[in-house]
Amino acid sequence: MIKVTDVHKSYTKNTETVKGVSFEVKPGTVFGLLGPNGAGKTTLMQMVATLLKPSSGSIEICGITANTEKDLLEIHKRIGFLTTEVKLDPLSTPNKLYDFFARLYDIPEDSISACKKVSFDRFGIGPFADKRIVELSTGMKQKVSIAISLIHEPPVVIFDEPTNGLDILTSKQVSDYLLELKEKNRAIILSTHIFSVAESLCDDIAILIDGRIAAQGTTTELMAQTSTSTFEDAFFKLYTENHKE
Amino acid sequence: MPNAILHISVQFIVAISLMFFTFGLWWLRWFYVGDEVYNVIMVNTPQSYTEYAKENEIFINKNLMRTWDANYDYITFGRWMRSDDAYMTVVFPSNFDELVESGEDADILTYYRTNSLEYMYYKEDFIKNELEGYKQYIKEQKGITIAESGAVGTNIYGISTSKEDIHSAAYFTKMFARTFIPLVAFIIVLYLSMSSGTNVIAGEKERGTFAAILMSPAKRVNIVIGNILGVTIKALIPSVIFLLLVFIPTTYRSLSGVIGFFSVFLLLISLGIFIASITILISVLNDSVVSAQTAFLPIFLVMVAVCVTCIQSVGEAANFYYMLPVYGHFYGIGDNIIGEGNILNTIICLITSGLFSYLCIYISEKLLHMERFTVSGNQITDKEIRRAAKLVEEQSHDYVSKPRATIFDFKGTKRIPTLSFFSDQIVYPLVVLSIFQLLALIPTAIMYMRKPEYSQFIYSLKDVSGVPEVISKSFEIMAIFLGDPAFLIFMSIGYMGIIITYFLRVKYKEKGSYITLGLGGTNKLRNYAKGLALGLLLMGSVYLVLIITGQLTPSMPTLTAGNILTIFAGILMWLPQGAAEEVMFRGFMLPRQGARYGTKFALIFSSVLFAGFHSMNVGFTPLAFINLFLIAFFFALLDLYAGHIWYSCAAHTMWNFLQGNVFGLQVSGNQGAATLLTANYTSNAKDIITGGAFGPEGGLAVTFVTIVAIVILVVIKRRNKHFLHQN
Repeated sequence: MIKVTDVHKSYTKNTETVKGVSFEVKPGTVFGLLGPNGAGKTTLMQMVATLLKPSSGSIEICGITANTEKDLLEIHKRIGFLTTEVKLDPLSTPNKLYDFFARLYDIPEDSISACKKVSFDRFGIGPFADKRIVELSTGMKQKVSIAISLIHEPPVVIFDEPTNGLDILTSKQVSDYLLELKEKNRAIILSTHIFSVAESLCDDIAILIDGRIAAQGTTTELMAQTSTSTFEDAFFKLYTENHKE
Repeated sequence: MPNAILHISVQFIVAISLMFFTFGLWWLRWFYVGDEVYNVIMVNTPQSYTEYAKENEIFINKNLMRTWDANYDYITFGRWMRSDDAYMTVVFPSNFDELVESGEDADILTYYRTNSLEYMYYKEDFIKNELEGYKQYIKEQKGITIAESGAVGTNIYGISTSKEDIHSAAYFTKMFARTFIPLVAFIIVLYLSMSSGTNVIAGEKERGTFAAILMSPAKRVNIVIGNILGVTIKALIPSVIFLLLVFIPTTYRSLSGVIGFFSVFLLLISLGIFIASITILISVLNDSVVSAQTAFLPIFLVMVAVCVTCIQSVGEAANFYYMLPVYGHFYGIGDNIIGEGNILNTIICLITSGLFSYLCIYISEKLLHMERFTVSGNQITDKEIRRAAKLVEEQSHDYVSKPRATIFDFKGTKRIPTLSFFSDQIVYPLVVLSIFQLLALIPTAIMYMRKPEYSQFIYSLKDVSGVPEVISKSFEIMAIFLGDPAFLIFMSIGYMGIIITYFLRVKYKEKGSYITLGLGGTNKLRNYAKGLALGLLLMGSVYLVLIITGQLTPSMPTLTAGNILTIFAGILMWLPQGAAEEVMFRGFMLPRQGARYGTKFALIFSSVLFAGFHSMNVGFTPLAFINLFLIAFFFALLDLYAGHIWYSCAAHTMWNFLQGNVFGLQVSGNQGAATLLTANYTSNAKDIITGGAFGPEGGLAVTFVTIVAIVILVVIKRRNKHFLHQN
């Protein structure tokens, strides 16, 4: 579903942010990207989402590589991308935004309101549907963002720290929704700082340090590799081993 | 209540007085209509006019009849008008009646004071009632139509009537429709486009909502066009309403009105799209509303400036302008409102602005495929990284630590960006030269304007057309000035000012020593004397070559006291002139360009600039460029070997002085006025050798001499390493 092969990315001549990363995400699995700030997670995810072009290497999504604009649009139809950088127009309302993006994604006019009802009911957006985004709480905004970024029911879902800044209740709702998506056979990439989220959700975890994948596998595999007893210790050990000043 | 009454009376009186004070003469005019004595100055009044005035009972103030030779001397006329409180001067040619009698062109010139509306009114009145009548009278009496004058100057009026009566209400309405209405429409469209156009894309990037749109399966070109249409519609709604309001009362009556309406409508749409596409392009280029607005501001100002230009030239612009965007929109809207639009022009304007909009859309679309202009998240840090990397790279070969070449002890200053460096090297001397030469010209020009020849010169400008003629005219006047000792003194002071400016620059801006201008060394006076001898040798050789090759024969002119004064003043001018040019092009440029780009570069580039600076002079040819380059190269080489510029300062001065004031040749296109000898070019003199109007510096004689000089200099230096070198 998602196939990343030896991807490099450098913004300037001398500094490389992502240094040869390869991984694969199959449908119905959650791939976790873990790493400290500045490790290149966001850059990597933006490359997978086609917002950035890799300096070298290839990224294949549902068998398509973004070479032409046509490919790009085909990939966009298949990707749902949610990051902290993708924000919603603060002066608009969830209702209007949903309609706007539904049209952008070519959802048939007569099925928009039905889809909207299902989606809004799922997250309990209904009562706030006509409030302006600026008036909504952080949790509410995140729910609206999720609803809108998955408006076209894409087979590939990229979530950049989806539970960041949310309270436990909303976090739980988001995690549950991710599991629901996994059951629907979506391929999911998830980046997070929160170890519990990674542990409970991810089938495969890659530890990204200084633009390289330091280790990859399930939590148990990672713990075994580093001969530690907790996932947190495994991460710290990998970090001290791989990070160069 | 007597106090209150007094109070009111005083107020009333004050108000009335104020009214009289403001409009006084205007009101008074009505009391005098009837048997008005025209306060008009008549110059060279012909017999036929006196007869006409007598017949028609026109009362001209006899005291104001004058005779004066110079028809175009508006300075004198202006002085008379001020002192006699006349509002107009009518100038006849002194032989007017004879000219009319023989059927030749006879122009009557009128001058008037422009500083008050009343005067303008009187002037119009006089022309309409009296001069037109006189024109008619001449026609009846002699059967001759007085020719319309093609005179120069804004205040000069030949006998002819204006095509339109500029006082009529219809004219006012027309001008209003052609200036004010398009201006308002423009400002509405510009303002709304700016506020909404910068808010989309750039605003979306700033708010972080743009990535969601980029991630949708919408084509980039659709994103651009969609935004442009949105901005256009937002800007057009109020302006269309405004224009409808204008149209309803004016032009629904006729077919041309309907066509005009649709033309205006189409022009507005095309203007909206044109401006919106520029705004969207700017919006794409920027990543915040403020930066986009800042970037749009100059465009806004340019557009307003274009509007002002349009207002000033309404109805007079060349057809070409009607086909351009913005100009065409402005004129087109104005003309179509009054039903005088040209459909073809409108269509061409629509096409050109459409093409321009298409270009903007095309560029915006391409830019939206680039990471720099789409992803705002990392952008700022990336830019900073790039900038920092570049800075490190630049500092690594900063010449503060190691100049490429050290000339005249110049160790280099803080590094400035390349573009600034070059513009400084070119613009700084240009600015300094212009300022000081202008300062020297002003008093001379004022003095010259008081002389009668001035009006003759102004009159000769009548036939000038085209840039080369303007340049040659300006050199003609320069030649006149160069014969004026006072001007030479002023120029001398000006050149000293230039040298002082360079001194101050080095001292306060570079915080360096005057030695870095090449003014160091020991035995300065002796070196200067040697330089004078060198100049004599060089120019003497040129002169000899010209005589030997049979180009000219010298002769002794008659020297007058005035000539001697001029020659003396000439010496005073050439002294700082040569020094100033040497300081500018050798003393300043060589070490600074050398420190940055090396000696060879400095030698060549400073010489190119020297030649380039003379390229505006009269008679300039490619050969003159080569010669000036060679001379500059020779002086630069000499200075490099010597380690100071004293030789070249003196040689430069001597070169120019000999050319202009001794041999009587042109100095780079300038003709010296007083000379010791007169140069008589022989019948077989060839411009290619003598340099023609540019003087010897434009001919092969100088090429020959300078090349020989350069070769000798290099050969001696090769043989003797210590030649010219000071310890």
